[in-house]
This record gives sequence, structure tokens and C-alpha cells, in this order.
Amino acid sequence: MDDRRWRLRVIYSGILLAVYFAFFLMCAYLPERMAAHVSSNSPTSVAMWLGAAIIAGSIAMTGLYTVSADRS
Amino acid sequence: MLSSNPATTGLFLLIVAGAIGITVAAARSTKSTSDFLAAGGRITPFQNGLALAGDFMSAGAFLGLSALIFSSGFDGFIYAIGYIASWPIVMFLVADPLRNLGRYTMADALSYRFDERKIRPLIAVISLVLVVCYLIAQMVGAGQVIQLMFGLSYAAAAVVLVGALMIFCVMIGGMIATTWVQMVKAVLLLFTGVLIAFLTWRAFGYDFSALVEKAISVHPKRSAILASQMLPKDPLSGISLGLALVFGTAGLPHILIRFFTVKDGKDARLSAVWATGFIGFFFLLLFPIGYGAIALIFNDPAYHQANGALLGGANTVSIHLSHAVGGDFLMAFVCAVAFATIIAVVAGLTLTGASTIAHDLLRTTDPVSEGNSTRGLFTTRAVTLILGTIATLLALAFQDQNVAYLLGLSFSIAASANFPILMLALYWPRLTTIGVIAGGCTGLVLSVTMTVLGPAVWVKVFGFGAPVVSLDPPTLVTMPVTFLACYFGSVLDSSRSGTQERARFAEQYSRSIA
Repeated sequence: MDDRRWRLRVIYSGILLAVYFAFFLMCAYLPERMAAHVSSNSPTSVAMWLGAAIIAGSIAMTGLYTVSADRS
Repeated sequence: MLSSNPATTGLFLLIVAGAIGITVAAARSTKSTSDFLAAGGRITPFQNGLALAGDFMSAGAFLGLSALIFSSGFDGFIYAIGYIASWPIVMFLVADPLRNLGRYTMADALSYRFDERKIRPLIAVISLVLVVCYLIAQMVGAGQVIQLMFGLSYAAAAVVLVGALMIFCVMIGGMIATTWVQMVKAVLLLFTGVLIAFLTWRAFGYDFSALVEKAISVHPKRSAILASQMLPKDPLSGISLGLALVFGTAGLPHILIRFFTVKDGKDARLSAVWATGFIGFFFLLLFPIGYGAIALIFNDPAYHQANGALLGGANTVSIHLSHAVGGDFLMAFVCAVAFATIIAVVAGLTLTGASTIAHDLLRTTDPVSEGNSTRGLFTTRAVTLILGTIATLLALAFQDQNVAYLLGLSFSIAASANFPILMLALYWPRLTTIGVIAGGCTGLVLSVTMTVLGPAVWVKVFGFGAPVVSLDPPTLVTMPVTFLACYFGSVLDSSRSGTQERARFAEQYSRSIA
């Protein structure tokens, strides 16, 4: 299993899971930082923006993966 | 509450008529077992992506998550983030190899190199436990929605109506009808989500900051609703929940069987891309919907009973928000869409259960029906009728129970039993039939036992003061233990059949990436 497809699976899954569990750990162990406002003008928190970024990033990663997998 | 609204009755009848119409049209194209169980592999990636999104965006996701955001703020998004992050995992690791190795069910892919006489019954039992848990939770939820729509007697009408429509759709139209019902429902749900989010946004002058500020000012937890409160309180349970959410989807049988409805692995992968897009977009809409509901209805007495509880129960937040921003008609429309959502999801679950019994269980005792389309079709339809009837009776029996734990249990079993088996079968050459059996039995028994002894059942259902197992869900323990059981079951297996199964891995892997 040293083919390009396998490497793609490992790299993409690894990145996603690392970001995902880092987010969970930050929510669990750095609650004040995650609840902080992103700017003084906006009531939205760091957690909200990171959460939205993970959702958007998940969508983007599936698109990128399928392009890479089709070439492999 | 809505019983006097003629729009409700009209839209409800339109949904029922639409489901019946789709089923009758699909029945003409359902001529073989392959048509019935996998739509003959003729569904396009875009259609399958919509149907997958329809399967996943259940009433629990639509009504349940907005209710969770309403009561706890950001903790509702923790679930949404976990659900959406699970889809790339499904796509990267499962979608194309599963399609390339199987025909109708997950057990097909495992039977490629393992002893199918032993594997199929095990996978069938795990799948049926998952499907029944999911079905009961959805059908009990259906009762609440219909009760809100018409004020009907829950037991006598709501569940029986959902059960009858579900059996009709699946029995007559099979996978083709189920797919089209899912697609229509997904479009309706996405449209509804966009409409409610837009109207909520408009109510605050298109200023999201103003919406969030208002939500903070009216919620008793104030700015704490902007970050998770659940995870800092119990980080281990939080991480365990994260595991169940991100790996559970890859083990849900009603999601996995949808990959057999497209023609090949590449289309299965593309289906997952579309599904991730639709589901991710829908979950992003929960930001304005969830916080909008807090801002607009949290302190409005029109949506609360005298004791302060929300009218119609906690899960009606989205429905009340639609009324607040769009009046009676939009509320009736949202109720009708919620009903369509439930019909579509229970139809998909029933079909999964039927395919598991007919293809995985009966195949071992009656191989003739598998080769004979007419007899196989008859068997599968008969199984659908029996399974649908049992599910309806179970939903009636559970009507007064707190069944919220059943969805959590489903994800826990899927992540702890099905996911490890599937991953190791697809990517670990040394796995053998004994390893699969050891892992499957361990994952299933441990998940059910630890869930029953945990807070969700031991405290909230049985009423004991403290749980025996505090981890909720137990995936942080059950998933690694299942991997270990698979590992030791395989490495300690020195049988001749085990050696042959290991030798077949290279051929299986080549086919899985074809």
C-alpha cells in the first residue's frame, strides 16, 4: 500500500483529524480564549469563526481530494 | 396549535401525495433485486449526493440541533462540526473502496476475502441494531411533529401514519423511490433553511452582529453562548463525543448502502463531495437560525407555556422561529418539510434493514432467491413489510420514553463496531475472519453495555442518582478496545483459512482502488 492514492488518504485524513481534534481540545482546555471576541467591533467569538472555518474547510478538502484522486 | 390552519392540512396532503406519486412512478422502474436494493446503480453522483444529504439531514439535525443551540448556544455547533467533519473521512477512506468491493451492503465488501457465512450474520446483527435504534428515535420524533401540526392523538394516528407511508414507499418503490423522496426532501430542507436564515437576517437589518448581540442580551447564559460549555466541564466525554461524531458516519449502514446506487467508485467519491457541500451549507445556516431563535423567541411569551416551557416541546424551536419571521404559512411549510424529512429518513432506514435481512441473512439460508430476481424481489418486499410493521409497533411502545439516547447509541455502535472492522478490512492485510468477529462482538456489546450504564440511560431513563460509567458517549473506550480485539483476534489466528484470507488482501486492495 505505497501507492499515491493511499498517501492521499493518509495526508488528507490526517490534516482533517488533526485540525478537528485540536479544535475540540482548545474548546475543552482553553475556554476563555475560544470565547474571546475576534474584534472589539464584533460580538462573534473565536470558537464561532473556527467552527465555521472547519465546516467550510471540510467542504473544500473533499473537492481538493477528489481532484487529486482523479489524477492518481 | 396549527390544527386550525388550512395551509397546514393542504401542505401536509401535498407532501403525502408527492411521496405516493414518486413511489408509483418509481415502481415502474423496479423490476429486479438490484433495482430494489441499489436502484440498479443508475443514480448519478449529484442525485446521490442530494439523497445522502437527505439521509443525513434528519429531523434530529434540523429540529434537534437548532433546539440545542437555543438552550445551550455554541454546544449545538459542536455536534454540527462533528457531523460535517465526518463526511470527508467517509470520502477519503470508505466511499470508493466500498463501492468497488460490494453490491448492496457493507457485508459484501467484507465477504470479498473473509468467510461470508460467519461475517454476514454478524454485520447484519450490528446493522439491524443500528437501524432499529435510529428508526425508533425518528418515528417517536415524528409523533411530536404531527401532534404539533394537527393536535392528533399521537399513538393512534401519527406513528401509524408515518409507518404506513414508510412501508408503502419502500415496499412498492424500493431504492429508486427512496432516493427520489430523499432528493426532494433535501431540496425542500435546504430551501427552508435558506429562507428562515434570510428572513431572520433581514429582521436584524442584515446585520449578523446585531443578531448575536440581541441573542447574548436575552439568553440567561449571556456571552457564554458564544463558546462551548460542555467541553470544559467534561473534556474526556467531549473528546469521546468528537470520536463518535467524526467516525460514526463511516459506520452507519443507511449511509453506506447509498454508495451502491452509483455505477462505480469514482461516482461514489463524487457523491460524497456533493453530500459534504449540501450538508456543510445547511449546517452553516444553523448559525443565523440558532442565534436568531434565541434573539427572537427566547423571551416572547407567545411561544411559551405558563410554566416557561416552549410550546410543543424543546424540538420545535425552528418551527416557532419560522412563525416569528414568516407567519402562519411559513410555519405550516416548515412543519410539512419536517414531516417530509421524517418520512424520507425512515424510508431509507427501513430499506437498509430490509436489504440487510434479505441480502445478508436470508442469502445464507436461501441462496436460490438471490439468483432469482422475481423471488428475491418478493422476499425483500415481504421483509420490508414485516420490518416496517415491527418498527411501527416498537415506536408505539416507546412513545412515552425518553429516546434521545438511541441516536447517540447508534453513532457509538457505528464508530465502535462497524468503523474499526471496515477500516481494518480495507487497509490492514493481517485481519482475518476471527479478528472481525472478535472486534464486531466486542464493539457492539461494549457500546450497548457502557451506554446503558452511562448517564444517558442509567440516570435519565432508569432514574438512578449517578451513572456507573461517567463517559458519555463511551466511544473513547469502546473504539480503541474494538481495534485491539480485531488485532489480537487476527494475530493469534494461526488457522489455514486465516493465512488464505491474508494472502487475498493484495487482490482485494487492487480491486478496491480500481
